[in-house]
Amino acid sequence: MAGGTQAELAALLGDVARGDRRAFALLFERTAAKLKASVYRILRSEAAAEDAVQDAYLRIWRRAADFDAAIASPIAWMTTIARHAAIDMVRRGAERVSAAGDAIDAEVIERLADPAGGGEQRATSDQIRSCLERLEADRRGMVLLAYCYGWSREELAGRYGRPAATVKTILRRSLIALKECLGGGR
Amino acid sequence: MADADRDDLDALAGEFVLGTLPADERRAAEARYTADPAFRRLVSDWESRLQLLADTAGDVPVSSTLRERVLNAVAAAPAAGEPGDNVLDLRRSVRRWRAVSAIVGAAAAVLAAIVVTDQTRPAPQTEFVAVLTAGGESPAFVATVNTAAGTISVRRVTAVAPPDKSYELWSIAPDEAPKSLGVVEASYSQPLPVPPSAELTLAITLEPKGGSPTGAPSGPPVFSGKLVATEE
Repeated sequence: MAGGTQAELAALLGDVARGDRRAFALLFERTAAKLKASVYRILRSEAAAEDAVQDAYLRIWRRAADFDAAIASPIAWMTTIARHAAIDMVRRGAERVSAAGDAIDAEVIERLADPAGGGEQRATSDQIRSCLERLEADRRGMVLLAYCYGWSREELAGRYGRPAATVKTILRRSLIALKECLGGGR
Repeated sequence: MADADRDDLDALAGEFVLGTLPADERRAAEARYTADPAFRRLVSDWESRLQLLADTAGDVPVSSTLRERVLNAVAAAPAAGEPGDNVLDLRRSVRRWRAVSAIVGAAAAVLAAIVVTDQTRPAPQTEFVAVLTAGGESPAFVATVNTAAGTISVRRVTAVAPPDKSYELWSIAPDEAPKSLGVVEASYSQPLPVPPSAELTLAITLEPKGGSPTGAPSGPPVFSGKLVATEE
């Protein structure tokens, strides 16, 4: 991918917050393929994914001043916006091909085992993988389906045969367990 | 903040990033992200923690058509920082309110949702929703704007003012001083002197009984939020 270091992306976002459209074009170049991958995984349709990417970048344009370089990672901040844009489309009833349930956590965990970056990223990646594997299978599946595939509490409730309110509790407990396993900080 | 509250807030931040919050709660969390640095930090930590999962999606190239569409759309949109950008307006309002007040952070741990909607048309194209946050999850007020009649009604859900105080509602247009919409009593309905729009921030302050004696807010908002247009 075109990429760009976190510092470069943060600087671009700073320029975008001041209304710099050239910086915005550069930011798009460097990050669009990555954001599209995240939304494509949720929407499973080329056309819907491109619509979601467009929506996401308009939100990024409007909200760039919200980005706080002191505490947030630019790509992670943009990823949340993009995933939310895709999830909004799904919730509005955009057609999506449902991801086949069972293969999912295996697939994601498999990929965590082979991160693009080496070294430090590899270490972090191993850590989150082992923390995910420590979660009960259902809980792990819920977290991954929600994060990677944009499943709602209701969809998860249907699949796992639990009330939606219980799913909320399970998701929150699983996240906190994950956080504690990862050491509380980042 | 009590530990239990902090844990709840952390779990809320986690679920916000995860993407499983219902739409209204997500909008509340977004407004809170803008207004509350502590929440922003919790969200950022969750984003960083989970980013490796997003990275497993890899890259999917975008079409040149999409690139053009996005750049054209942005060329036509108001820039962040230009009038018409309501997120920035909200942030300015929040900063302005904080600047005039030394009591930052003392507000109650409550959150108010103001829902502004046109109830006269059978199928409104746009619904305005504003979420007033001050530090919690449960709505304290719900307000409804009847755009045809030009009135705003507010229903109290959970908030209770101390006996010697009154809640006062304010509308804040970009770069203008807060305009009082009157004291919010148990049953409140008033003319809305300004058109409801996504540029408007609504805020509620605690004032001496009967309302601010000066016509300007005398303290920071205990609940505040911007109007946002939502698609139906």
